[in-house]
Amino acid sequence: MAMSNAEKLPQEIIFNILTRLSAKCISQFRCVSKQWCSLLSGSQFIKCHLKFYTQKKEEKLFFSPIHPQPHNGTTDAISRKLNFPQISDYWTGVVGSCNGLVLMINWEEVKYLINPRKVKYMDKYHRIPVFDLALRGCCYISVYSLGYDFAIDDYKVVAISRYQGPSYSTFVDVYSVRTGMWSRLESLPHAISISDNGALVNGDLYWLAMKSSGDSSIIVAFDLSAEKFSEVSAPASIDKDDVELYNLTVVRGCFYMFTRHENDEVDVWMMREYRVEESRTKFRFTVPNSVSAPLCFMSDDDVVLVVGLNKLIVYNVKENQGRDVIVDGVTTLHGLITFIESLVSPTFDTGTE
Amino acid sequence: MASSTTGEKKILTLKGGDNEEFILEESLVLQSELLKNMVKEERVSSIPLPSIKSKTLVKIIEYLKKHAELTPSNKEEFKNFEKEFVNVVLEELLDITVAVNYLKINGLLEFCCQAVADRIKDKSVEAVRKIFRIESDFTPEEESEFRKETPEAFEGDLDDTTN
Repeated sequence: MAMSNAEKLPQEIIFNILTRLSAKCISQFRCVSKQWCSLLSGSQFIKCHLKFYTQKKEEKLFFSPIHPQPHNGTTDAISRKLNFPQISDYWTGVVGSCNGLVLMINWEEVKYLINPRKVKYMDKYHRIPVFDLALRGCCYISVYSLGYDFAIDDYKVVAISRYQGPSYSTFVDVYSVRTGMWSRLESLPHAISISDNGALVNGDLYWLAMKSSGDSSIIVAFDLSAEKFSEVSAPASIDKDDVELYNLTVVRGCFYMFTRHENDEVDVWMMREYRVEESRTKFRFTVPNSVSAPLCFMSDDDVVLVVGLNKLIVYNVKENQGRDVIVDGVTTLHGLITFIESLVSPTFDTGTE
Repeated sequence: MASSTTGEKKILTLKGGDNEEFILEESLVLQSELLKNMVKEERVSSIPLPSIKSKTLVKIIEYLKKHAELTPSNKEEFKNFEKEFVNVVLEELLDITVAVNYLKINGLLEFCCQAVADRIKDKSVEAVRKIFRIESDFTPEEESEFRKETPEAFEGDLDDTTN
């Protein structure tokens, strides 16, 4: 007899089909049956889903508004408020994003790793403990970054700290989410002040850094598996005196470098693989005043830029013009970061909701 | 020389589930990893595929022919053909997907799975159960707990047949 219909569907086909659905859809389909629930909650499924579905999909914008001031007129996007009163009502920073997990800091300087898609259930977060050796007092600067160590399937928080003032000793601490332990690495090889949260590409974190000796920008890379730093020279074609390298960002796995000329023109360099010159393409646009950071791309031609500290504009590269982005009628946003919706759990409990 | 050889082109017979026979060039079936191994290693000239309905087999052979003719210049045409290819009732699409998985035609399998995913993504849990012929094995208490926690899962498209 010819087999008909779905009851003979092999598990591998169901698996293949379901990895192509959104995280939201998958959480709903866990209600189909016990078998589906355990299939869709397994770590193997969650990893495949991350690989096949999540990486290629749109990123979402994540922010914490400080004093929302309603804006009359049109709205570009509607936001959804995330409630997690158990942890904090007041967030001061959103500092890292990786595979759907977001690293946040509240007003008491406590760091949490959350999956924003899951906060509906209000119990899925991971509190990052304070490291015994962490710098204390008021006169230090720390920057935090989040990354994924492929080799041991672990999320890591990298904290780079130094005291303010003439001393340039830089301390590097790494926290493993899996083990819940901090460790201190060797200091950075030389005086570098790192001021942003880094760009994550294929298991390496990249920062734009300043050498204390001069004002030249360099790129510092950190291998999350080996836990080693290396200095990376900017591509030869960028490394010119009249060009200032002023930001790095990663969108959908591609690496973007923003260089500014003296006349305020900005070149955007896109690389599919860092250090591979052939994978590089360049486009140029004239930057509006006071642009501090490019955040993400809305389409191939529309780049979202952060202006000043907390305003967003969307800039069309082809037409060379921009306009304000208005979310819920508000133009002032804070702690902006992009994230992808995933099923990854911040607590390593095999991902069940 | 085997009787299945005419000129340079080898001919192969596929037998569908209802004993209908399909005669085609051997080169076409090489796109299937399963059939390729059978043809190369066992040198067979007739392959019974009792688990695949003739209707499904007709569709798959149609695809193999189109795919064999694919060149850089008719890419668009092939894309349109692919779109039409999966534009069948969901049950038939699942039959094709299962058969393609069995025959190990990898490119087509990925395409079919994506087509199924696109079709079920807005469905309600009830509809998905019907499509995949799954009986809920949750207790009524667990079921009502789900409905309370994720009411939207039960609000989706109830249509489980054509779309």
